[in-house]
Amino acid sequence: MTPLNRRRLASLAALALLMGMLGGCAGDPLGWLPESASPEADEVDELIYLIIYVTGVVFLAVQGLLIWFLFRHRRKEGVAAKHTHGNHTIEMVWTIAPALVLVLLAVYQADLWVRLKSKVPEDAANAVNVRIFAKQFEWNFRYPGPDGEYDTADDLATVGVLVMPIDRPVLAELRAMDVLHSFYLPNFRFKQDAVPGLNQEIWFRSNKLSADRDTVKNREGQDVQLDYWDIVCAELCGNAHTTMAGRCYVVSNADYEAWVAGEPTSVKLPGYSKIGAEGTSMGDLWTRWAWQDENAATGKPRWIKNKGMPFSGVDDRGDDEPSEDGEDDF
Amino acid sequence: MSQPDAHDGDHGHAHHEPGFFGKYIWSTDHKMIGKQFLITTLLWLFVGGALALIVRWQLAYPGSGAEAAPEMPIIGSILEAMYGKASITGDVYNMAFTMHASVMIFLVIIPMLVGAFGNFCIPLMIGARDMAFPFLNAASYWVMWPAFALFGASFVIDGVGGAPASGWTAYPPLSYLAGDGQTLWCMGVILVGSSSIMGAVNYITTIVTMRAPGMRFFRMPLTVWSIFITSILSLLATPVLTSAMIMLILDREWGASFFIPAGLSAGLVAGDNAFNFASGGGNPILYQHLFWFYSHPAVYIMILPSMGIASDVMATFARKPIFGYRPMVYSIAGIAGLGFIVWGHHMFQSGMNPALGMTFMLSTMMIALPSAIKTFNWLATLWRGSIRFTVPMCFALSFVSMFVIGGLSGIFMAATPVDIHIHDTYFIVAHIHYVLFGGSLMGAFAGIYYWFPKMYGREMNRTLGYVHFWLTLIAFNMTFFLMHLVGLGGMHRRTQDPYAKYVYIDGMLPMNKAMTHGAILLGVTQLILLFNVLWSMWRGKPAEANPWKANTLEWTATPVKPGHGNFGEFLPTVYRGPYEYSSPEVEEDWLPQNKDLNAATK
Ligand code: HEM
Ligand SMILES: [Cu+2]
Ligand SMILES: [Cu+2]
Repeated sequence: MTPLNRRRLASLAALALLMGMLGGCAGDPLGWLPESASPEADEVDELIYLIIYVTGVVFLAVQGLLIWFLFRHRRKEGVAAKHTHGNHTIEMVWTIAPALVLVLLAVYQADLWVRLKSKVPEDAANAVNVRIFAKQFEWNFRYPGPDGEYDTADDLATVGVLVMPIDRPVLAELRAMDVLHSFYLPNFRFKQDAVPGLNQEIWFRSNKLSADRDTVKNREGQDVQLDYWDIVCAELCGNAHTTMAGRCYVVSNADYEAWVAGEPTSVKLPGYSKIGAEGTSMGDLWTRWAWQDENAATGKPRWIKNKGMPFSGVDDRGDDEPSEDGEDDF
Repeated sequence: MSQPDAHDGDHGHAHHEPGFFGKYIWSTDHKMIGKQFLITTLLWLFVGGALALIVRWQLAYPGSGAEAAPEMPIIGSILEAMYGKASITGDVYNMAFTMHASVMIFLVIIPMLVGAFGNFCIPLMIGARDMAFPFLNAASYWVMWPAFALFGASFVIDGVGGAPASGWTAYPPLSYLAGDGQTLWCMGVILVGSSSIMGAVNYITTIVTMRAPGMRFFRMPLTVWSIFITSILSLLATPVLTSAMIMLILDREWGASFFIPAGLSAGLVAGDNAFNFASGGGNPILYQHLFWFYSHPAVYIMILPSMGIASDVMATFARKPIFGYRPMVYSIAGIAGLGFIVWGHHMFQSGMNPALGMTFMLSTMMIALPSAIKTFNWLATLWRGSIRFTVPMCFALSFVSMFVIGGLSGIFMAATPVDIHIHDTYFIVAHIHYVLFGGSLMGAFAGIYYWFPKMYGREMNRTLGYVHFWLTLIAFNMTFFLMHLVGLGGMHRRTQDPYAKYVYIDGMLPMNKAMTHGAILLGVTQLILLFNVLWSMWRGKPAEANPWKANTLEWTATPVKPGHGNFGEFLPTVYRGPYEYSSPEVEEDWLPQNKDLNAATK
């Protein structure tokens, strides 16, 4: 009985892995996830499906056995229960087998987490910089403008609108001025809480124009065509938390440059305001940022490579990438 | 069984009996305290349920789009009486889910599992006459009442915007900015925590020092084991929550700024700055560490007793020893140990160092292991049993089935990259309800149906029991299974009208309606339980002393309704483990722990 069980477990695990790999290639075969709009989203989806298949096998096996035992071993006249206190070998099998699966899963997905949250993307030199400032109940964005430096007169500011070029990473700094918020892009599978008093460097990118977004069904089941990706506040932030939405426009590089320069674009895009003088409520808001910022003297975009990685080596830090103290431009 | 003990409550001796108040209200008898906990928590279950229905009603009938929001029946008028307006505004909505979770966790599940079953079962099952500290025990119940009062007052003290509305997690700075109700909430939580600590000290002392002769540690029923280890968890974790609550009160009332950094402002446009009060220098993430350092172990405080109850019930009704008794005990201990090093999995996206996220990811993956081991052992317990589908057994089986779903969804969230997407969505809500309702509460229901004859000397109505079981199982899955899907689809939690701003969520409205209908059915179904409990207390069929033919002392060594002191003149002597069902040593399919086989054959 024992070797049979072991073999069966092994083949189940192999089957799960196989199905996971197959599923991985197919995107979102069950259609449960929001449309993917970034390479990272595809990777996350692959992982989600891998786990769906692994846990699905366990789910079916456990519930199936449960129902089968309930039926098979229901009380019958003249049939006594088997008196047994357990079996050492089988305990070992069902301790070690799931432990292996769990450790494999843990190791397998660690790399993706590091790339998503701790490292600067490969093509950081090509990145767009933006500051995101969350407050009750709106998302504020600020671009350094043509001169590439924040806190200068040509800075651009928008409320609730993020415009970004396709296939270029966005290196963003994320802050909150009052309570916790959470910057959530469902289609990018990206989320990061915005924490008062903490400047967080985050990155994300998109490989799909928002104008090409698939239609979305509304409550009546009708197809609605949207030309933006949703920005969601995912952390409870007060009584109007539910209204704290934003729009992310992913446009071609040419359109992005045109938008920044204030020139006509091929797709319709919302405008922005120039920061200009302080004293406007917008200016006031961004003054808050500077006030929170101990490095406010340098208006340069800051990005710490390999943030939070205690053992990250020195040698993988190229010249084209920003250094720890923010001296380099990109 | 003859009872020379003058404390026997069933056969008169009225002159020895304390009066009504002494017996039912100020009792220090562990059984009475257990029953007090049970009835009070059952009543709070309905308060918590009504609050949940506010949330569900709003999600099904939000009023955005063309139609206007229909007023909620019954509860709408309660809202109107309280706040002067029947509609579920953002404030009311946030209050509803905040108080729903707070009531369910702090006033229902923890005190029901630990307070009611811990109190009732431990001395009876280990063969003790009472708890080690009966007065402390009574105190652990009575400090719940000021907590009830504080929670109750927090709804109304500061009007509609002043009730606690920052989630059961009460993250600052939002909880810092909240109205006065939040302070009362913190104080209530401190009192509930004190109750837990008093109970824990008592249980640990009782179990370590007062076991009957022969009741070795490894002869204790798993219910006792699980509550023993739960108590250790409570004792170590609860003080941390208490500190977090005190710090939050200090921040709120005296501007201590443990959690509030400098340079914040709220209400900037209006010109008033609610943060002026704070001196700055604090860190909101610190609160999250403290909170989850308690609240992760707390989720195990809420599941371990149910695991124990389900084990006992399943062994009894499969007429088989628990498969792998020691592995079962070791997994409970393993869960408790690992439970202290996984709290960061609630904070993967919080701004905590992502490298720390990796270590928490690994420990979280590993904590699924003891749960898996337990599940396999439960299955093996059923294998080649002689299964009787009594009402408690049905609930214990659905405990296993539902808990498995909750455990498996935990693996999605433990995978950090997946958690980026599903954190703070309805997927989490699905997970917590599969473990806390499908797990903890189903286990508690199994316990109620199982021990009711011992508690009240009467049987519960069986037909009502089966109706309650099937409706609960069906309505529960109707309500919560779809939440996995809307969560994966990106519907975030804690939002009053997500349809208005997000078209992709608008498409999920029909699913949300279905869930709401399930929730209403689920809520109404629990009235059957309440009715059955109250009716059977007075009108139920008189029970036998050991109606289930179980082996453990509470059934085999006591009369139908044990009196003060539990056992007769002599404490029972224990000869074997708790699960000797279908043993070849005897003819019957049960062999009580206290049966002396040598004496019988003499
Ligand atoms: C099999 C083992 C389990 C694993 C791997 C696991 C994993 C997790 C993770 C990673 C989260 C955080 C998700 C997020 O917010 O992004 C979570 C949340 C939660 N879990 Fe579990 N869990 C397990 C079992 C349980 C059990 C047994 C209970 C309770 C009886 C429980 C109750 C909760 C609760 C209440 C929350 C959400 C708290 C909140 O944010 O409001 N979990 N779980
Ligand atoms: Cu928000
Ligand atoms: Cu946890």
